[in-house]
Order: sequence, then C-alpha cells, then structure tokens
Amino acid sequence: VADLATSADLVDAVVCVLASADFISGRAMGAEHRTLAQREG
Amino acid sequence: LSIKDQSLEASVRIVGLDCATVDAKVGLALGVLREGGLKVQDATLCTRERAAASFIAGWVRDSQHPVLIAIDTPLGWPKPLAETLINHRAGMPIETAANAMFRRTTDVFIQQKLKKTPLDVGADRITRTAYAALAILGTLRAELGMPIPLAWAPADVSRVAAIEVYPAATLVAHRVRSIGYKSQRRLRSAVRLSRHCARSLQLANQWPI
Repeated sequence: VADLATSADLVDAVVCVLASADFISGRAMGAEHRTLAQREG
Repeated sequence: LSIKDQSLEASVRIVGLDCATVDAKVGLALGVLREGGLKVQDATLCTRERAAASFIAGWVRDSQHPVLIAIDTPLGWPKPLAETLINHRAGMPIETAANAMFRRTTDVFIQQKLKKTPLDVGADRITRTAYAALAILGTLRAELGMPIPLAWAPADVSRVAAIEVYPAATLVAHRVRSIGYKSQRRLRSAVRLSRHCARSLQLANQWPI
C-alpha cells in the first residue's frame, strides 16, 4: 500500500472504502425518496 | 453471486475512487471486507498511461466475490435543473429558486443531518468531476461487459455495483476532523485520524497503513 501521507487523493480513496464498509454493514442511512435518488443520485 | 445470498462472513471487494478530471489526481484504494474486518490491500494514483478504469477492471476480473465501487462525486444532477432549463430562453428570468436548481435533495439531507454542505453539482466545478466519474463508469461497463448498477441497499450489491459516497460526511460520522487535510501540512494528521477511525470500527488489526 502506498504511503497515504503523500497524497490527499489516496486518503480520500481509503475513506471511500471506509464509507463502503459502513454501507455494506448497514451503518449508512438509505435514501428516503428512492425514485428521486435514482434520478439525482 | 451477491450479498443477498451471502452473510457478512463472505468477502466483498471494495474499490474506493477519489475522482478528478486529471488522471494523476485520481486516487484508488482496494479493500476487502471479510468477517466484519476491513483490509486495505492497495492504494495508488492513476496516470495518463494507466487510467482508473484499467486498474478497477483488473481488480474486478481478479475477484471471485462481489465488488462494490465507491465514488466520491455526485453521479446525477438536480431534477429541477433539467426541468427548468429545458424551456428556458436566453435573457429570461428563472423562477425556480437557485438552491432547488443547483443542489440535490441528497445534498440538502446531508447538510441537515451532518452540518456539511456538499458542493453544488449544478453550479460548482464538481460538475466536471461528476462528468469524469460517469465516463469512468461507462468505460468500465464497456471493458467488463457488465451493467454496474447503483446499489441503494446492501442487498443490491451483485457481481459489480457502485455507490456514491461523501468522504467528508464519513469522517464527520466517525467524529474525525477533516477540515484542511487537503494540505500537505495536515495530511499526516489525517492519516492518523483515519487510523483512529478504523480502530473505532474494530478494523485496526487489519489496517495496514
């Protein structure tokens, strides 16, 4: 694994992984309006 | 091959994509979630010679498990933006409120819940990054010959799926201060904070940074 301290972009990428782990583990809040979310993100 | 028919005991490969309009600013991280523990196996910056889709396609092909791609940029635009502009003519005023046009409902939700305001995809420079992210997803779909749908719940994660994430909100949710870590001076403290964040999730024994 690259030295994360060399790049904020790498840190953000790792935090994205962390956010995904939250999602998979059911720790993220779901979209309240699914149809609108599917349009807007 | 999906999370629906596997418990969290099974492995899920996770790709973190810090998107940008320039390849050299695109950060990628590869993680594996297994038995509730998260291990980061790789982290790299892209180059003009090897772009994000190439790395991700390789990681997907190597995986026997579901893959979830987490992208840190908006993947859509506010519905009122399109509805308003389609009938607009140059020089005419717009009756739709600016925030309704340029800010998505999900961004308003984040602001209300976490007191963090994401950039407006309808107005800020982030819109070019969103465009770049959609291009990466399009290239990946073509390279892999797979649909790569967006997942809205854990059960939606099939062979390969994608979600939009907001790293600043993740750090807030884990009580990690994120302000200013884009600067080199504070980067090391950000990494330390990420470690702290990982520990809070009981990931420390597998956190390689």
